[in-house]
Amino acid sequence: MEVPLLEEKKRPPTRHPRDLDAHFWSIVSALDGAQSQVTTQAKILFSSPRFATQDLVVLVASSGEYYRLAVLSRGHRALATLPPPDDIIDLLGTPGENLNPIEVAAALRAELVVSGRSPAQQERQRLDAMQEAERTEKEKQNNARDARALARSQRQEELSIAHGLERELSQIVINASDPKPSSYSNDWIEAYYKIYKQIHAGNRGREHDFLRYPTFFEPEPAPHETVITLANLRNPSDDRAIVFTGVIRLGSPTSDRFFQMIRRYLSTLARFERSQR
Amino acid sequence: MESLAYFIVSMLSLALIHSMVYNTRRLETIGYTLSIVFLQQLIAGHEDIFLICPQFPLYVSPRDEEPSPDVTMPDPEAKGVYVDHALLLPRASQTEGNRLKLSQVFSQAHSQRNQDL
Repeated sequence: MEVPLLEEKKRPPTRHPRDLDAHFWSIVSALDGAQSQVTTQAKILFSSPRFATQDLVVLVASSGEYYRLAVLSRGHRALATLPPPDDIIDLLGTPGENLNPIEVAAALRAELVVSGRSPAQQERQRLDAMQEAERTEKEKQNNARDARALARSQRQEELSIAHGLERELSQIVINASDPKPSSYSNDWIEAYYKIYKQIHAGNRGREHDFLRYPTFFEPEPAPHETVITLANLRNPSDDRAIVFTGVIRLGSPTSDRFFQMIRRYLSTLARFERSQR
Repeated sequence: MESLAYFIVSMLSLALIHSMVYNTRRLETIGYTLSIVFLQQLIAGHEDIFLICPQFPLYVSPRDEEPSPDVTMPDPEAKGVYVDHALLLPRASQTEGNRLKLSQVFSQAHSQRNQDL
């Protein structure tokens, strides 16, 4: 068997970002976490004798509608480094330890609502649930608005003492204002990212900081690029790092192009497998 | 996105992921719906080749070196992770002598509703 693709998901970005800064980090922190985990998974894949004949794997790190891609080949030097021990858990240990099946069944039964309600009662419950959801949503929006007002006044204060790029970054967050209606345009995110990158230029330590392009969102791939192009990407200052694409948003033209690229690769695998059957 | 149907179902999945009723706690597992839609499109036309597997266990174990396929007892030394979604490609081949090709065996068994291959 082969495993042509691994995907690691993290929780979706926040629905009520306080400001552009919160929105940006909500996406980045989830994708960073997913990226690091999917890297560990790829290392285990290539360490396992079960998959000894496989040479390539597509890696997807995702959160909500955002994702980053990488393609890892068996020859990559990333495989010479071990994943951090904390990333690996004991699997398939003693099954059912601390779990008594009778207790589990009883707990499950206690949580289930046995439906003996009339259609009218069910409709009433549905309406109640909807009203409750609307109330919660409103409350969240109010809280988010209060948090935004507070953050805005703090930013204004910070602005008076900040200098240079930090000041520019604060100004961008202030100018971006509130999310419309629950998100920020790509342009605001790119503006934020550009200054953020300048502030952190030269900082070492984060292996996934290297990107092919200076933008936050990955541009469309060139027509001749294939999964092999991605597999051959290297970080010039650390050839043991796996190079992921920038952020891709599902449904964007970039996403469609990468989707076609992976599909072409999978079709090749499928055609070969079919010819063997 | 390949088709209108997939576009619609992707939007529905996103609405579910961001829903205050069905995903109050912003859990990642609700997002599995979107992953499955994405993977379904990726393998469209090749459903006879690939399997979509949520929570696929990837691990290494000292037992990897021992060929004992029928052992079902726990392996306390296995170390690994569960992958949210893996695309699997089972390499199918025949181990016993049969003059038909595997694809022909599948077709024949399918037309006869015979699952005892």
